[in-house]
Amino acid sequence: MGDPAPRLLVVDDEPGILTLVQRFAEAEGFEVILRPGGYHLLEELSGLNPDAAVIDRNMPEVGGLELLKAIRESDPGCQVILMTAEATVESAIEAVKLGALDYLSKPLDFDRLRELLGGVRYGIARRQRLLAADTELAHRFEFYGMVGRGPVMQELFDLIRRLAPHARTALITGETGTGKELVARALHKLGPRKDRKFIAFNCSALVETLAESELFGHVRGAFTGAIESKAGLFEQSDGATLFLDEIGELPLPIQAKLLRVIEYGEVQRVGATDSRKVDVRLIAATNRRLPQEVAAGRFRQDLYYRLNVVEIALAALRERRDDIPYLTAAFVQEFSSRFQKRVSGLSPGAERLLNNAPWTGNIRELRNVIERACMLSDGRILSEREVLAALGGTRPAAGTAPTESASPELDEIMPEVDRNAIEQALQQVGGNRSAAARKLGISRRALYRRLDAFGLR
Amino acid sequence: MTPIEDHEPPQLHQLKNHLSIVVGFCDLLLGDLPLDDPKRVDLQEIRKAGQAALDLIPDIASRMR
Repeated sequence: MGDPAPRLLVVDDEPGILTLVQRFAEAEGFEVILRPGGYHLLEELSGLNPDAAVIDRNMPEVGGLELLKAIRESDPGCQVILMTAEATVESAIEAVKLGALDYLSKPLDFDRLRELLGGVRYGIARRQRLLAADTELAHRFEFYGMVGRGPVMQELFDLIRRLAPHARTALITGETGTGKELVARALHKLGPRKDRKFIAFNCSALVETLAESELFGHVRGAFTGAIESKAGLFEQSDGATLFLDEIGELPLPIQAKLLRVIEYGEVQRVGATDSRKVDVRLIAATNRRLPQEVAAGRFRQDLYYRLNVVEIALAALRERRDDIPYLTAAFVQEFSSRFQKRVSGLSPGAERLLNNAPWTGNIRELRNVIERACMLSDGRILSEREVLAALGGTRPAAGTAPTESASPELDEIMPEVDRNAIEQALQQVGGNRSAAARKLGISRRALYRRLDAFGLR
Repeated sequence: MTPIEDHEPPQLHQLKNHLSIVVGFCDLLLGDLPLDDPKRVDLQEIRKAGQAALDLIPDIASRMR
């Protein structure tokens, strides 16, 4: 796919000028959109996605300066060139102060315009090269689906490489979205059982009453509805790797039985009198702080000690912001091609937003944001506006710097959940945020935003 | 400070626009035509006249004030 032409928006109430600029700009390799100006252009603006605009200063309804302001606000990546029949020093200064790239008087100096448009094209090419370079680096630093160039991740990859051949059980800890399952898969792929199955299971998805049968199996008639004997996850994983995610959610009685499997390699199906030998490599993961869970009596200490012989703690994304550009580049490439978009770069403002976001949902959140931004975008360069929309933020108020963190209007997102409800829910589930979010019927992201807003974190 | 153009009669502004189109298209055509094309001389005459008319406008504007 060749690079599409950069897009130029030309606005003038005089049709002759529109045609004139169109003839010139098309010869310079631009895709040209012509508009006569007017109020409806303001509404249409965000959908046009121009890379640059040439705008007449004196127009009825909406003046060129007003349009310039609107463009600077909605899409700071778009370069604006103003034209006027009567250039004065004062009006030129005013335009440049408002963020215009240049101020041309009529009749147009085509040599100057050619230079300006060349600059716009060069800027786009530079953003594209930057992203291409970051994508390449992301590939070079990829490790089993994880991207990390910084020292934290390089040490992690090294640790995984060294542990994988030996560890029979491992515990992976880290906040939600930090890539615990990817680490588990890497441990499997690099380990002696790489040719066997990798079975992943999320413990929080277990209904408590069925958990035991799910994990350890049952014999026929063990309980109502147990029509046939059934092997549990451990038996299915015999000789292979079993990944138990959110192990902190397991009820205490099940924890006791799990400990037995780990210690003796024996599984007893529900309702069975004898036990069977299994040889399972167990990788557990949790976003809870297990020592605290142990102290609170919600997690068995002996099981914790069994699991944490090998503990791999994953860093939160905000602790390794250096990797954000590479992760971003990798995700942009992924989603741009999946959605068949032509996104090949980010505006400086969009980059700033991504670098400064709190990322409470970590890499998964970053990935989701890029996915949404790519879906929204129909330009070549992801703009600040698109990233902001994908972050779920509202547009910053006029006059504030666009780099300031975009905190969404809370009441817009979930008017019905107040501080008390959140505190109560958190208490009821022992501080587990995923569970609290489920209880409240809101997304985990929404809960995090709320926690931030109330200073509860 | 108020830009001069705000005081200018709208007809003068329109005249300037029209003349700019005349001059602008001459420039485009001159850019397209080979250097030895005989039509260049004619085009240059049109352009010269257009530019001369444009140059008169500030004077007209000041007399109207």
